[in-house]
Amino acid sequence: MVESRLMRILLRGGAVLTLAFIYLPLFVIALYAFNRNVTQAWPIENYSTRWFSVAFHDPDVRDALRNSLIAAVGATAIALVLGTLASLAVSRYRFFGREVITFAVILPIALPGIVTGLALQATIIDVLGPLGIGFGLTTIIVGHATFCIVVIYNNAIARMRRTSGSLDEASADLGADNWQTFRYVMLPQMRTALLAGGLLAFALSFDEVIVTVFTSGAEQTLPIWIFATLARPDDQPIVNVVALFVILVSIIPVYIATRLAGSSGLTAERPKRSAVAANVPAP
Amino acid sequence: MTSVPVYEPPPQESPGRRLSTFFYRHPRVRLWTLLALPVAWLVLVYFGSLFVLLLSSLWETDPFTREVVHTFTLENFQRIFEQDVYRNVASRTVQMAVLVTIADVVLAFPIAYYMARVASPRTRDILVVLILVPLWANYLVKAYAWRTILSEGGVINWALDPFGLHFDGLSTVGLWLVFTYLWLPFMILPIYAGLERIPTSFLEASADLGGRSFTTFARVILPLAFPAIVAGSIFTFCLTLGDYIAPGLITSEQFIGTVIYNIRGEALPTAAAFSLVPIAVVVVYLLVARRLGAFESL
Amino acid sequence: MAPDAGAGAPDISVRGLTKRFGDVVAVDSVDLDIPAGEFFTMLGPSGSGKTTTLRMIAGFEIPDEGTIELAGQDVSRLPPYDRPVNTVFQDYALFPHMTVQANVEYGLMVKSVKKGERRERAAHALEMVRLSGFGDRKPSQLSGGQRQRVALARAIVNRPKVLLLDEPLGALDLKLRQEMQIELKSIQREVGITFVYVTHDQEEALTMSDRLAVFNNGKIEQIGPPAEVYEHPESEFIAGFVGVSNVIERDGRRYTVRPEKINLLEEGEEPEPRAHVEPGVVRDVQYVGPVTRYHVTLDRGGELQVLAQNLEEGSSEVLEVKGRRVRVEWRPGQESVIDEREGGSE
Repeated sequence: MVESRLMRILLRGGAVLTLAFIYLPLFVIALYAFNRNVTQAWPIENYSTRWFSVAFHDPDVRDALRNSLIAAVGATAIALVLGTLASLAVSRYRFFGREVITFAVILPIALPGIVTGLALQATIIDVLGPLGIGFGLTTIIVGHATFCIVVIYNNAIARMRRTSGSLDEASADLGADNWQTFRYVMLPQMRTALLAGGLLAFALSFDEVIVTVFTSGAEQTLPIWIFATLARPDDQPIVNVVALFVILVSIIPVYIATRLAGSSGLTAERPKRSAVAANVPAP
Repeated sequence: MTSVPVYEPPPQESPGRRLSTFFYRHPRVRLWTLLALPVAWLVLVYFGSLFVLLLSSLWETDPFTREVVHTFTLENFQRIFEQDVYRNVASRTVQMAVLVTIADVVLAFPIAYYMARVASPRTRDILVVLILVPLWANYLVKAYAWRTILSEGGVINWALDPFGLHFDGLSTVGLWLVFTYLWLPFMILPIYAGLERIPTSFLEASADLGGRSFTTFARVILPLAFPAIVAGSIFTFCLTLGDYIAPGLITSEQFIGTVIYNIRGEALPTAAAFSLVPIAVVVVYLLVARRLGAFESL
Repeated sequence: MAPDAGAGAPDISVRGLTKRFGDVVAVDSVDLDIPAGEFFTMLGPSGSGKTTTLRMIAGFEIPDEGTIELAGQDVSRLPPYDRPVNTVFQDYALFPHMTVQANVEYGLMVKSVKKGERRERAAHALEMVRLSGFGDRKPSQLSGGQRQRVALARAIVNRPKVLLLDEPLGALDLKLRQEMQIELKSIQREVGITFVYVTHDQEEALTMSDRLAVFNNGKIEQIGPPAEVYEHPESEFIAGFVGVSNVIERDGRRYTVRPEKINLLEEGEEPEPRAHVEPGVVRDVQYVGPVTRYHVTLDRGGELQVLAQNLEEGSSEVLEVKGRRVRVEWRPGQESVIDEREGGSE
């Protein structure tokens, strides 16, 4: 060890403080969900679970939850297909424009969300509108799927890099055609990576607010409902409950995904925007 | 083994096998079959939209009806370059992005260093998960939680009150704190990965050659970790640049994101033109980062 | 395809085989004929084209030019799964998510062989590689040598016409490698399949092969039985790659002599009649246990390595020879003339 004893103690203290900083707001919001009062004063004087039942029976919340689930499932399904296809092409072929594919997959999440959102909004109004397609669940799903592709893609690529290409060759050599090789060799190899990627895509879509604001029109997802309801002080207690719920719904799949990807995959398959630069290619 | 090996002819042709063989003989066709769907989606949905956005920035807004008129003009760009409001907002946003990046480096380095070089492998794995998972907690909710914490009757002022202190949290300073919080994990993880890659033998060599702890840090660790820091800064910088939710929740001060968000309904062409500013800044930043070797350390 | 189509015809017949990767010609117009049942080795340094040739025979690469016939059938455009060959990969390429048993059965499974027969044949194959009872293990629970044998069983169980082996022993340590060399050879004799073996290890090639082809720069430089290639290399490259490059120039021609064929004459010792004798000085001596290597600088120019068995001498005695004047001799016919055309290659 090169670090001195004092240094190591200081570092440990710093690490603990930083972790506390990261978790402070999450704990605060969790506590507020149990606040009996409508006002958001600290410290909380009376605890209760009454707002959980109010939130659960709120028709707007229920609609928003339904929309969020449909959007997340739809976007994940599309992203799974597109991301897997792209990863197979890029990992198993060398071709001119290979880096462009990686770049194109990453760009939707690398550019500021407001740009993607505004671009989609302009397209929905100017191009889809005249075709009779308006804002709604479909446009939400299409937008989400576009930036979810990268999560699937990165997980799949990382896994393919770790599995030897000679496995595919061995399978073909032993008499398996492409479909058999995909079914018996590639898919089992990629399964956990795809599952992890799918869970991350689900969480990403379920959480998304920046782009969704521009594509949702009158439809509300849960985050959009929160965003809209923040302006109504009387509804803060319900917002607190929904906020806690949203945190849990995205954190649990992510936790499972990190376990699936394996701890070695955690840094290599850093999700969300970190995945972005992980593969930013040289132009 | 007594049997003489005899080759068995392959099983009958099936459509699937015929297609496989076709793909084998035409690898390009196979490649493009794989790529067709994702490429079509990205080109039509994403690049198509970006193109529409670019076009929008060249359209006129009728000053009376607020309708978008489809005639080409450079007026929108003229406006964002000439009017002080846009210039001030842009420079304020870039300053904020720089300050947030600096704060995140300072906060991220110790914990990343602890994870990479001091913690046991088990602790390290736990810490990675502990930092990774909140990254995914809804970002709107986190910003909202900070609004609650920073507000007049919130946790911060409750804690400061006994000392007779008061902090106006819903301000630009408060926003700086919130941004720093929001993007902190994006800085910790690349730095951690970068530090972990430095072979211990480098540090031992430096110590062996009589380098004091500080010398080792300044002359060996920091230069080697620098590309990772730049990599992390890509996130902290770029994410700050385009955000409109956190500024909208914390302060009434205007930033690039909030301006685009606010004018998008009545002046979409101007919003579109203004949105090219963060794109341009991000592209320049990425080019500089690439120069500094940030992409290799991601 | 009939099992014995074109009896008497070579098992593998390659004509004008060429493969380019960008500007690099990896395999340059190679011709090869390998009769059934032969243990054939393709030897060469890395990048010489031997592995690419093997991969084209297996079907993993499509040749740019030329044809490959297996037992009289042109397979140049057939995908790997339609070729009567199987491959043992350098990294074994065992499917990590399957047990040893499932790995060995894989080829039969995708060809829809019935379960009972699959079991039986897999058991046979595992028995042959002395891994009975390992069927339930995962590849990760095996040692390197065991994995290598599973890879062999997985290939042989399909009863291919030709078995391709791509540096199969490269990852093993020396002792295990020598054991496996003997085992591979005996398995080949037992099953009678044609083996095409790729290696960069000249000793391995010499030990195991019936015939070998030495690759260099995408071309075959020499092809023949091991003894012929070793004792009569046709080019300077072969002289150097298969053994030690012992090249001297006399009367405008270049010769090579194998170091163990050269004898060091002691003071006053009579050379054999008709032997070629030259005086020189011992520049260096290396004692290597069973043998000693002498580097002799010849008076007429050039340097030769001489290998002598340490039948009676100890290390101190042989080391004393350094710096002494000596004479070297070899019997006529031990030297090979190296084609002048090849003199400048490399």
